[in-house]
Amino acid sequence: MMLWIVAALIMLFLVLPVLIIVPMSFSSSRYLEFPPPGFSPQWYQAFFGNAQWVNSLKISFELAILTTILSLILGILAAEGLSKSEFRGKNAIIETFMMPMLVPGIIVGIAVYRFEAGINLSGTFSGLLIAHVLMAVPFVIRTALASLSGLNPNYELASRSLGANSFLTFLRVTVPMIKSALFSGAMFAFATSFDEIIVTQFLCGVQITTLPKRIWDGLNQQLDPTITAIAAIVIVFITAVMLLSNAKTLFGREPKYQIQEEIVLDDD
Amino acid sequence: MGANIRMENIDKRYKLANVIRDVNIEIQDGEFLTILGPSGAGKTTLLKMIAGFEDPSKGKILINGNDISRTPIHKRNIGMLFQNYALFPHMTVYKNVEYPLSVRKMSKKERKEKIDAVLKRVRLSEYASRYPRELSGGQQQRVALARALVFDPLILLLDEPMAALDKQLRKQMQLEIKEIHRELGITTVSVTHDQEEALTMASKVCIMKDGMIEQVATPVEIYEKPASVFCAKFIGEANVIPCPVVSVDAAGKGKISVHGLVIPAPDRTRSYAADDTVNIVIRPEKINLVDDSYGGLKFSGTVEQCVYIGDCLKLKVRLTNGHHLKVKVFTSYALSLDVGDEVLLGISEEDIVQVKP
Repeated sequence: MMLWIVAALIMLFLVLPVLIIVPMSFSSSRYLEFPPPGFSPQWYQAFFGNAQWVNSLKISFELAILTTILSLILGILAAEGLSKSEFRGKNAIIETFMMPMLVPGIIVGIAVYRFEAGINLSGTFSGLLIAHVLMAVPFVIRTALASLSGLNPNYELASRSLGANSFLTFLRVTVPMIKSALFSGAMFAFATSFDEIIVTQFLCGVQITTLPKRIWDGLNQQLDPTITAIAAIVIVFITAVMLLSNAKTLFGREPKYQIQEEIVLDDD
Repeated sequence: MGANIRMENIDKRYKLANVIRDVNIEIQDGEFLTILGPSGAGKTTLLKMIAGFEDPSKGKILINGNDISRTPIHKRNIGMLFQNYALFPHMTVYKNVEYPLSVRKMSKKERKEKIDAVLKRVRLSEYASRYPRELSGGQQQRVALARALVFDPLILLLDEPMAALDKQLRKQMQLEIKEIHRELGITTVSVTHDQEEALTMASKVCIMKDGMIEQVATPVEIYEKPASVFCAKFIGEANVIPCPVVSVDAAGKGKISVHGLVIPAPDRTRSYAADDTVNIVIRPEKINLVDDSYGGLKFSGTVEQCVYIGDCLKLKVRLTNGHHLKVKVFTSYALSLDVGDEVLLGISEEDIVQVKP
C-alpha cells in the first residue's frame, strides 16, 4: 500500500508540471498565471488565427514525419547489415552511428551548420531534414539492432529454405518479426524531430521555422500565453499517439483457444 | 521426382576445429537416412550443408548428379523441419503453409488445393486460421511438416525433429513421419542423438563420431553387425570383450580366447599375428540360460545384479575368471532368478561379432 502511494506521488510529481499547462491554456487572463482567473478559448483562437504559428506547426509535422520515414529506412538497413556481418571494427562503427545521441546538441549544431552553410543548405527544409535524420537515426538503429540480434536465425533460414530469396525473406519475415522494435524506434525518431530545438536553432531560416523554435522565440520576446495553447495541443497529440501504440497491451484480448495436446494411443 | 544425394570428400573447417573430415556418403532415392551421433559429432553440420546453410570447405554435394555445393538456399528445393519448428509467428497456419507457394508465385487456386490437401494429411484442417502460439507443440510440428512438404521438395531434412516433444508424443510423431515418408517416397535425411528414434524411422542409419562416419547400414545391420566398438556401444547395450589371439595357423587364420574358451576369430577375411588382440561384441539378449547339454560356448558364473524391467530381467553375471557379462533374459524364463544364484550362460558362436577398436 505504501508502495502504491509513493508510486502515485512520484507519477504526480512527473506529470503535474506538464498538466498545469492545460488549464492555463484556457485562461481568460492576459498573462501567464495560475490558477487561471476564468476560462476562455482566446489563446486557441489566437494560435489558429496566426498564420505563422499554424505554418510552424505544419512544418514541424512534415519534418517529423519525413524524418521518421527516412530514419526508419536508413536505420533498418544499417541494423540489418550490422547484425548479419562480423568484421573487425564493427563495434566502432556502431558507436559512430550512436554519436549524434551522445555528442552535445550544441556541438552537433555548430558542425552541421558549418557543413550545410558550405553547400547552401542552411535555412532550407532539406537542410533541417538532414540534421533531424542525423539525430533520429541512432534511435532506430539501436532498437532494430537489439531486436535483430535477439531473433532466432532459424526463421530466416526457414524462409530461405522454403524458396524465398534474402530480400523477400527480409520483407516478409524479418521486418514483421521486429516490427514492435521498429515502431518504438519510429516513435523516438518522431519525438526527436518534433521537439528538437538546439540543432534546429542553427538551421532555421526566415521562411522555415519549426514549432519549438517559434515557441522559444515567443518566450524570449514576451511571455505570450498562446504557447500554453500550442503546448496543450501537443500534449494531447502525444498522449493520443502513446495510447494508440499501447492499445494492444492496454486492451489485450484473452487467448481465444485452449491449447491441448492430442495423443492417439494404439488400442489394438 | 526423386532425388539421390551424394556427398564426396566433404571437409568442414572452422577457425579452430575440423568439424567434418572426409565424409563420403550416398543416399539413394526414397531412402530415409538417419544420422546418429553424440553432440559435436558434426551431424547437424552435415545436414546444414545439404540445406545450404553451411558451405563445405572442401568436397562436393551432388543431387541427382548435379553439383549443388554453391547453389543458394532458396533454389535448392529442399524442405526442412527445424528443431523448434521456426513457424512464422506473425502468420496463421494457413499463411505459414502458403508461404513456400506464394514465393513461387503459384496461382491462388492451385495454392488452396495444395494447402487444403496437406493440412488434411496432417489432421489440421480446422486449425488453418490459428496462429502458431495458439497450437500445442505437436500441432506446431505438424504445421511445420506440412509447410516443408507442401511445395513438393526433392528432399526432406529433419533436424532433431522430436527434441522438444515429450516421450508419448514423440513415438506418435515418429510413426507419423515414417508413414508420410512411405506414402510420398521422398528422400529423407534426419539428425538425432536418440538411438531409438533412429531405429524406428530410418531405412538406413549413419553413425558419426568426431566428424567422421563410423558406419552406414540398415538398422538391423547396425545392431547385429556393428562396425566398431563405438557403434556397438552407441546403439543398444553390448558386452565388448578384448580377446587375445592364442594361435595362428599357416594360412594366417587365428583363434582367439573368449574368457578362456578358444574359438576361431569371427572375422575370416583378414589374417592374424600371434600377439594380436581383437574386440568382440555380444549383445546381452543373445546370451541365454542353458544347461550342460548346450552345444555352444558355456560360461558359468554368479548373478551379481538383477534388475526387473517388466518383460525382461537385466543381469550382471560374474564369471569364474572374475570378468562380468551383461545378460538380458525374458522374465518368463527366469522370474525366480536372484542375486547370488549360480547360472550357466550359453552363447552361440554366430552371435559373436568382431569389431574394429
